[in-house]
Amino acid sequence: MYSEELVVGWACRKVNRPVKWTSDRTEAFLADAHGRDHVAHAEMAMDKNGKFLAMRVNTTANLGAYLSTFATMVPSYLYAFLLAGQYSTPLIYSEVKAVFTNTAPVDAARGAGRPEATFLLERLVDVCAEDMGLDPAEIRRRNFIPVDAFPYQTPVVQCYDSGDYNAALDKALALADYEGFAGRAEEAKSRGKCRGIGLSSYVEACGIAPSAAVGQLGAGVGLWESAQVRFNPTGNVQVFTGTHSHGQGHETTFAQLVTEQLGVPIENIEVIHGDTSKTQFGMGTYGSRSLAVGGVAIAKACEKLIEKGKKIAAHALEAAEGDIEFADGNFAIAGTDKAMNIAEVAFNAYVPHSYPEGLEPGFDENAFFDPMNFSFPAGTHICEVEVDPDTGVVEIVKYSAVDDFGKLINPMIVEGQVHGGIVHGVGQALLEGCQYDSDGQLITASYMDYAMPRADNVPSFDVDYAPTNPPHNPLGVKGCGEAGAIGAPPAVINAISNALGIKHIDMPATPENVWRAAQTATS
Amino acid sequence: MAENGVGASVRRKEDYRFLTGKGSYTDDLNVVGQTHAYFVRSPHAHATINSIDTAAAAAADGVVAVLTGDDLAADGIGPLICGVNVTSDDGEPHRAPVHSALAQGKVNYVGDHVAVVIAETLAEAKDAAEKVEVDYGILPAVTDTATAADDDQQQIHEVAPNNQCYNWPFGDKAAVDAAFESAHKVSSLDLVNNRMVTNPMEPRAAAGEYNSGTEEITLHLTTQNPHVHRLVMSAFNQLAPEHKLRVVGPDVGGGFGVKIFRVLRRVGCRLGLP
Amino acid sequence: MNVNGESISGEVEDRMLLVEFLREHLRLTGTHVGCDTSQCGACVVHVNGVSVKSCTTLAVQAEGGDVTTIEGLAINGELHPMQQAFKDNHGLQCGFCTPGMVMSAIDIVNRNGSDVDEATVRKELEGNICRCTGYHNIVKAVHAGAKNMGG
Repeated sequence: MYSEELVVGWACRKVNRPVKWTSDRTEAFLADAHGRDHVAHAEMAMDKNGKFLAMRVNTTANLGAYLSTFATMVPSYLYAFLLAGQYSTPLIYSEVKAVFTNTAPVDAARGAGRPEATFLLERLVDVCAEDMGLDPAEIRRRNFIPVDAFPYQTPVVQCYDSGDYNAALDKALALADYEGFAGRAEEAKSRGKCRGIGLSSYVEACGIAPSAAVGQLGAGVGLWESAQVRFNPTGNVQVFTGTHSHGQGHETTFAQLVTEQLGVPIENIEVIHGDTSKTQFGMGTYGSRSLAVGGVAIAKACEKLIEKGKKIAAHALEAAEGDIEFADGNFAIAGTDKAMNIAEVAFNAYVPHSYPEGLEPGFDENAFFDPMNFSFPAGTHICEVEVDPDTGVVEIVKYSAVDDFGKLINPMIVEGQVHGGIVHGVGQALLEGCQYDSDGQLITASYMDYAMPRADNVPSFDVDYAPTNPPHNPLGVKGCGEAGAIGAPPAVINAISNALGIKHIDMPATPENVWRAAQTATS
Repeated sequence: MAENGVGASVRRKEDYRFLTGKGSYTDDLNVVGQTHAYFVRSPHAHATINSIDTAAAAAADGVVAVLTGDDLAADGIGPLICGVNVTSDDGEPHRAPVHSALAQGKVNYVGDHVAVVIAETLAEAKDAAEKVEVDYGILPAVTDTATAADDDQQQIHEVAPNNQCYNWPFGDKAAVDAAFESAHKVSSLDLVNNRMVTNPMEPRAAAGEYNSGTEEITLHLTTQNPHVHRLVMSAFNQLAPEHKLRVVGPDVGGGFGVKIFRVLRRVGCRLGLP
Repeated sequence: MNVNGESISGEVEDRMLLVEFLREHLRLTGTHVGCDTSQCGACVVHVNGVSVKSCTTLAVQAEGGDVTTIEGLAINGELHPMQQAFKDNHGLQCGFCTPGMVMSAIDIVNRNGSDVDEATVRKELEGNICRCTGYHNIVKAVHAGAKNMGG
């Protein structure tokens, strides 16, 4: 929450007039919560086969001038608890020092803690591969949590639900034509370009969070989600969700869930969210949780409607409740052609002229869902770059992503989330760097000074899936909103490091930084 | 599978309104009698506020009110909270400096909120904001992550010695150290995770309206979770009782975490519940 | 001036920007403001058939001109081929940059023809920032829209 929001709420009463405030972009740069800002040292101990024995990580995290709402959790629970990544490293020790500075508060930013953990781990794994003389794909394979080990308890609290990390890696290697890379590098060299390829195998924790899990961390509220599914007498449906949509397309995805379950045409379903006077209490949308938690609440409300509908249909059709079956939007007496569709049942429920005692009118149900665990999407992203050593310009020539999001409700929307996440991650890797000078003046306070990724900075992407079935989630879904932002930064930096034959380059790998690294590498 | 059901790439129901310019974002809302707020922000990263003189601004054309942290405190509006506890290695909870929505006595970053001007038009609010006289006592600034906790650094908050919020160890250090002792090979890496500005394309906005008849505040916000916003503004900031506060997140132009608000702290305790 | 086919007149201060005139006087709030340095392109409209950033155009500069905003594209509820292409190709998520994107896209096709290549589309969309889509589906949409406009 922000000062401006509270002040506007207070001021409108104080002056007894409507008050509007809109940030301009410079104010957004100055006073929106910023993201990331870690300095870290990481070490991995290995046996002679490149098997990870233990990891040690020391991190300093900048929280800015004040604690923003989520600030303390991002570099601690959302960071250290993801440091196992996709690997069976048995021992992990992390120390996080969080510090105040005279800069804007730092808080959650797409991925929140998980991109920081993944960048550190996936960069370190590439350094390990180099040190052991192993191919980056091979060292990952040797250390992956095996498919038969799930549910898998990591040494850092999290218990992963499901995963098949080799499957995603294999598919990504094929999609990226990893085998053919050497030939492409050779061809690029003939043009004076350095070509590099980089892998990133990430895990993220979504569906934040089960109340029991956050309760152990000292939480006093639950993190369930709620839904209400209401039929109107004319048979159309209003779905009230406690989640919030700001680009994710819930109005469509949630309607798909309802049309699937209740057989109501999608055009007769309206999803309503984002207003405390319309919707029941909800926790909102963050951490890619809306479908994995909020979607299930909707499904549970639909189940209740079906149960109630059977009672109403039994009464109307003069049959026993146990004889009523529901399929494709119709309540039918089993083995007969006597049936009512769900819209007729809804009308009947609001015109209860001859209801017996005990049969409650109305066709409107609430449900809450509190998941048993986080969900753990995972995947392998592969980035291929061409670096011009004379200018330091990096071109992403190919980007392949294979993710496990569980079941997809709307593949078009999921793919869009992946694209957007990747470019957010590419932005961090190549372009975006928020800079304060030593007096604390923000010197990147506009789009003139802070480089956002634009259409000509990125290619089109190759996206595929290697789904597994998370046993804790009744819909079999995991969450997809942050994967790209988590997977992309190490994939891009691993590719640049590979292209230049260097150990590491810090983000953002701007032309200047890359040019300097290229000069050092060749001198 | 139902037509348009699970697994179908259904074209989005929300697109028509966005594609025809009929989306309704917070800044698109306009109501009769609406005023505009503009914030006076600190130009200094670290400074004491010796005095604020709002007289000239308050007398400027179109100005409805100029409000400061003192006004906020006088009305009993509580500070902004952080919702998650992390226990430091000394067994103490993380250090949490008071964060008033409008600065009280000190500013701690460039852009920190010093006062708000409310005027009939945005241009008048901006013009008047320039007339707010603030006497600052400039202090050295701390900006570097790696050295912020060094002994010779300027202290930012009294409650946080060495500018440290927490030092949080996790894991079996002895066992890990032993594994490193006997390892065949140790690889290591120093790295920086660069600071980002999240930049959803829609800038943040807030539009508040008070109904003196029902004593209800309606607040339209660029929010990712309106109910939790309401809960916290009510329980922690004493803005209004929950049933007299309506929070609406209309169409929101991207979030990515910046417009999020959540609380994991013991709300129940704060409310006096068991 | 003529806005979306309707004749409009009004007294404005010299300093009033076209985007302020559209949003605040005409309540055409489909045109958005996403930055203050003429970088993001959320404010793109057409003046006399050519795309301009209405955040850096004075209202008086459009005096006597034909202004088209996102609200003026669909005819009797039927989407313009470019709007339809954005819907069909999931070229939008939060919708905030979308009006500017669509207006720029139409201008790109008008200037480069319906067989415009990907590199040109990406280069010419450089003045429109989107944080949600990663541009992939926007570029697809521009191509699809180009074909439909050409046909």
